[in-house]
Amino acid sequence: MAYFIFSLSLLLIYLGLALALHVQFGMLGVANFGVVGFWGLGMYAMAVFQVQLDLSFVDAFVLVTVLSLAISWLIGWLVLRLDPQATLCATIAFAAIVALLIVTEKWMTMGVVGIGTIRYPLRIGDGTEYLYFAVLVALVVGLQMLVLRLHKSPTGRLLQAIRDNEELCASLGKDTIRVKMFWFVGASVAMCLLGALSAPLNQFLTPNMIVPSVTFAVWIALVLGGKEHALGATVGVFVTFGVFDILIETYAPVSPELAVVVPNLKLFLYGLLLMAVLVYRPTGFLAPTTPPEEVWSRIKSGAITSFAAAQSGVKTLQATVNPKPKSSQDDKPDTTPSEPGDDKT
Amino acid sequence: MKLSATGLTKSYTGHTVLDIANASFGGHGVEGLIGPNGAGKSTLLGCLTRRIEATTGDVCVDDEDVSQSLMSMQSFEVARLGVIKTNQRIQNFDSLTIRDSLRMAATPPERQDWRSVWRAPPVDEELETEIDALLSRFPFSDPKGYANSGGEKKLLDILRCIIVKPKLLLMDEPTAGLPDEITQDVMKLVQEKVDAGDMTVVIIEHDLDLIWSNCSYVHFLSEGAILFEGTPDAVKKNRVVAEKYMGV
Repeated sequence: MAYFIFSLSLLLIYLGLALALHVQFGMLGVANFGVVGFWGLGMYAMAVFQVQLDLSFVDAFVLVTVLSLAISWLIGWLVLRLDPQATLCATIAFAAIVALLIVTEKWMTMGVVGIGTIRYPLRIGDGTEYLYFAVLVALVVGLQMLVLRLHKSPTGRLLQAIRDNEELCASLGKDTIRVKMFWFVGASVAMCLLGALSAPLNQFLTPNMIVPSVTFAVWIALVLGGKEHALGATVGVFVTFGVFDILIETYAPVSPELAVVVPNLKLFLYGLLLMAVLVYRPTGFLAPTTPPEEVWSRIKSGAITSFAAAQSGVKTLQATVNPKPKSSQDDKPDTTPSEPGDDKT
Repeated sequence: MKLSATGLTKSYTGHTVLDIANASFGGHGVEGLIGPNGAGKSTLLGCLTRRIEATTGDVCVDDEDVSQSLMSMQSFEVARLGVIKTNQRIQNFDSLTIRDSLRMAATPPERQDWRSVWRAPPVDEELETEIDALLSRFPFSDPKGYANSGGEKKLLDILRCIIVKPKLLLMDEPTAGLPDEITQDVMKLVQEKVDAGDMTVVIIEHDLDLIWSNCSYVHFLSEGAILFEGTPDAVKKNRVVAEKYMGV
């Protein structure tokens, strides 16, 4: 059970990161490929403040906030005037720098030895993990609400306009750089703070946690779910992290020999799913025009359609493998899955 | 509102494409800016709105006895003063509906910042009525949806500029891509605003009939310099304009 709560807490952290990335990339159009840099910075800063400086959780958290604000502002100031490709490279470089410094600055981070133990705040004995989980739920629900409201607000329209055509936006009197700075820095600080909150979850940090695959997992989740949709990040994280990392990796009955293959298989399936989505549904599962109220019914119908499609696929496969089935041709199932919903409605 | 350019030049790798000794725009109601292709008309408007960084010179804005230089401003600050330019090539916000696009453009910055996320979205009745009036005057195929064709996007671009309530509207080839009757309706709306004293207008246009019938003053630009300016009749009769542009 404890491991389940740990996995779910990690899912919430990823969900928070995907929501922050949705604001940066989905709404503002800033391609931040340094998600792990911000997350890792917050997490390690939390560890260093708590373990090396012996600060309390609250003091450390406040310091991490100040530090992440300063660094996010600096990164924003450096990258937001660049063209999209340059922004992408610069943010990757930022993440690489963070990862490198964590290894080399041993006096601070303990290098490859790792740093710990970071204890949970709000310790109440056996229920601590559950309480912490509840706090994370509240935070992520808050973030999701913020994103939903943002989409309906005048600010949301302005962010989308900047993403669509920044120069046109400026020519109408909008201070695009300032708006970009505000929301980019805000979302980056959120990523850092989610990192800070991940520190007690992991308890002991090592540099091999600060790897690009964190960034990729968040990006894949967002793109799969629908990068421009308010609920895309959430749907994407549940489909990727929820299904693969929690359901399959933890609960699927896999023999020990196969268990070694599962993480690689996961990456393979991530990739396959991503390609399929990009080819057949370039906007992700949720198109930008889908009203948030209809998302749940679409997920249901989508799940039913894909299940039916998978079922009929298996049947066709069986029929092909087994050339003389007892059933006749006319009850051969339809193999073309229909779209879960029409985008333009 | 009037813009005055003095000694304004723009060079690309040593090649001067714009060299305006002294000129002012926006003092005569509707003004025309004509000249052959490559004369520097769009570059001039780019420099006036600070979208293009001029190589040398100064642009001053005069509005109700206040005069200030634009040269230290960014393009959005120039726009906030009331100098707005429509686009020659189609520019659009593809993910915004027609109404949202107009709302986004017309909403002032203080109602568009992060605080608007938490406040209940205030329905700006005045703005909605204004949008209704514009959309009933200019029919779109899907007024509740998106601008679909190139012509609709071009029209939306112009309407977006008008709803911002500019004091000086610069129009870069408004007829390109627009059907004739829509162009006439646009010009009628522009003329009404000018007559009401809300704004002055500078139009770049190759459709000379539109220039002669709408403008009270015309600047003729050729090879980066203003060679002649005056009333439409004077420009029509001018020998230089005839030689360089009208091919007579």
